[in-house]
Amino acid sequence: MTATAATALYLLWLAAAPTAGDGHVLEGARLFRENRFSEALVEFRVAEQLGATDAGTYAAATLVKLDRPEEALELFEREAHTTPGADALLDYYRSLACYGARLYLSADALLAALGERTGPRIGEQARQIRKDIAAAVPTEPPPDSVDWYLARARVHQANHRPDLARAFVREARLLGARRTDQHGVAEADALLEKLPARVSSTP
Amino acid sequence: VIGPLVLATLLAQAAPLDPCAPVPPTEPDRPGAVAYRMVGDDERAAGREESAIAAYRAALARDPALQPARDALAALCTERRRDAAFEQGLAAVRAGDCRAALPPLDEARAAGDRPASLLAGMCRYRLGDDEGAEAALREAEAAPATAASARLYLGLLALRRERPGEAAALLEAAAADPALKPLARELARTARQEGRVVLSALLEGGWDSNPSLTPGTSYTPSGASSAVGDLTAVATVAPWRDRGPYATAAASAHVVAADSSLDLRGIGLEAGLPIGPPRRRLLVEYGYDDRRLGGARYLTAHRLLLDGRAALSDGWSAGGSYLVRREEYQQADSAGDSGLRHAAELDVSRLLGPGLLLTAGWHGVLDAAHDPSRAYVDHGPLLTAAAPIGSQVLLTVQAAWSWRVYQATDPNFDVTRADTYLDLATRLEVALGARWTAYATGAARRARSNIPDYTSSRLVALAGLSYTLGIP
Repeated sequence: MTATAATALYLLWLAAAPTAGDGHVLEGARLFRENRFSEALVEFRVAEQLGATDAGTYAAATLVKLDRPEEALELFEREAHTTPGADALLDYYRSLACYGARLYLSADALLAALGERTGPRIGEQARQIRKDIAAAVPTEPPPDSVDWYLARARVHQANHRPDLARAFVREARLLGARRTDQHGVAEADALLEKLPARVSSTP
Repeated sequence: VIGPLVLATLLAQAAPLDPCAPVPPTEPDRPGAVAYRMVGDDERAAGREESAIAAYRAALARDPALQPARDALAALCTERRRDAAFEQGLAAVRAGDCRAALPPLDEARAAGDRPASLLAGMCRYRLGDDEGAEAALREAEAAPATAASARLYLGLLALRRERPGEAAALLEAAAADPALKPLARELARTARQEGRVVLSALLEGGWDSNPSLTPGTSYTPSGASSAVGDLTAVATVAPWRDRGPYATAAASAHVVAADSSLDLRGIGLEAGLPIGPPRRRLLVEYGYDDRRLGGARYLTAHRLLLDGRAALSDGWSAGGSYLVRREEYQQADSAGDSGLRHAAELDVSRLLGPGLLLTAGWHGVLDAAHDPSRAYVDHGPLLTAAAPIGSQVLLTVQAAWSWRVYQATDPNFDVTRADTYLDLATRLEVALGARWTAYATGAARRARSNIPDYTSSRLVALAGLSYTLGIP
């Protein structure tokens, strides 16, 4: 699957407009394919600095591989042009970042939207993860769960990580909306309103 | 369950990068090298060692003279070697091989790893290298994360070096760490109460339901109960501490408020010699007792005690004791009780979990009194459980059963006396500080005899306070 994913990332890159950092993206994709994720991340980071289109998104996918889900999530959030639905493979990595950061309903929503747009192997894995999430998240989550996500969002906001805070607030809102009393939904909306708007890292 | 498995598969990593390996040069690219270095700095600042190494290596491949990247990679190389040495040492410590652990731990120490200093100090302490242990533990004491554990071992070291004052101060400092507090406080308390000279005093007061052993089955026979009090003072001199001969002098007074004829005063003198290490120790002790009952001379006795205990595996230990006492009763109506008294006990103990000590044993007595109707054989089982409650309280519960058969017909009743005894006792000890301990004890005895005059029951409840001072 790794080679398939790397090839897909490479094809995605080919489809984008070339920039000064494109050589680094190419090198990053090669290293990614060879499972050399730390080195791939460095190439994508350098490419980002040199203005390569989508390098941030590829770096985010690589961060998922490096088990750094919150950083990956932050990067996916920051890359405004990669809104969910634009690319199935990146959505899959984004869902894994959500899952790793315990944003289970956000992950589930991304996986549900994947449908059959990915290959059968990823599709099967997505179905298994969704089953796990369905078993783990109660139909009516306890208020403590909603509050935990809101608290984490405030911590991230205080630490000047608004993109990450936004992801946690959205998860809190999804959880709260499952409850009949809509616990935390209004607070989540208020927090979302206060968080700064997304700022794209792309020129 | 599948989700984490999928993630684990996805996160399968290539072999870690080696920050110490030579960097093969590529086509020179100074601006590119600077970009890699900046990524390396970001990753390193975020604690992402692996990607920082990749970035610095990429920078140096393009510009081998880029000094900040060279310095950063050299530092990561030192850290990696230090961490590898620590891990190797830790694995050896976990495998119980302190000798094998020391070379890598010392390598990590030399690179400034203070947890390695702590482990090296602990290993040297275990191996008996006191000076080496102290040097390593002093290093660990200087780092906040390892200071408390280092002080605990420095305290143990001071105890072994027979410096109880220094040990107590170190152990009390180690008790600032909540995880070490129970052990460190207990050891500090022991250190404060140990010394070449130990003085202690115990004051107890309470209630005895039947001090005169009024016959009957009631635990509280009408009019028999009394307030009681005890005062005991003990002085022990042990020039070689627990490794050589010692002498002890004790004086005690037991007062029965309702009947002064039952007041008992006594002195005891002992001299003993421990033989062998603490895990397999035999104690030989001579003692002399002089007791007065109701103000009149009552009993003098010489005694010899042999007491041994050996630690076995898995928390088990076994013990045995033998005591022979030559008793001389001084009053005419009890002179027939004089003679040799032999007492022996065998037991096994098992330490279970966090401090619960269970002991099961059998005790026996052969009392060869001059008057055969007063001589008897007595034996039976005993069970003891002792468990700490929190860090300052110890609860002990004991139960014993005895069968006693006298050796000749009792001339007063024209029958050979045969008794059974059931004893239950509990004791709560509360450590109040370095030298004070509070006690509460409760005891019950039911004696049954084929001669009704010797059937009796008794309850005793006492509360007391003791003070122990160790003088180094």
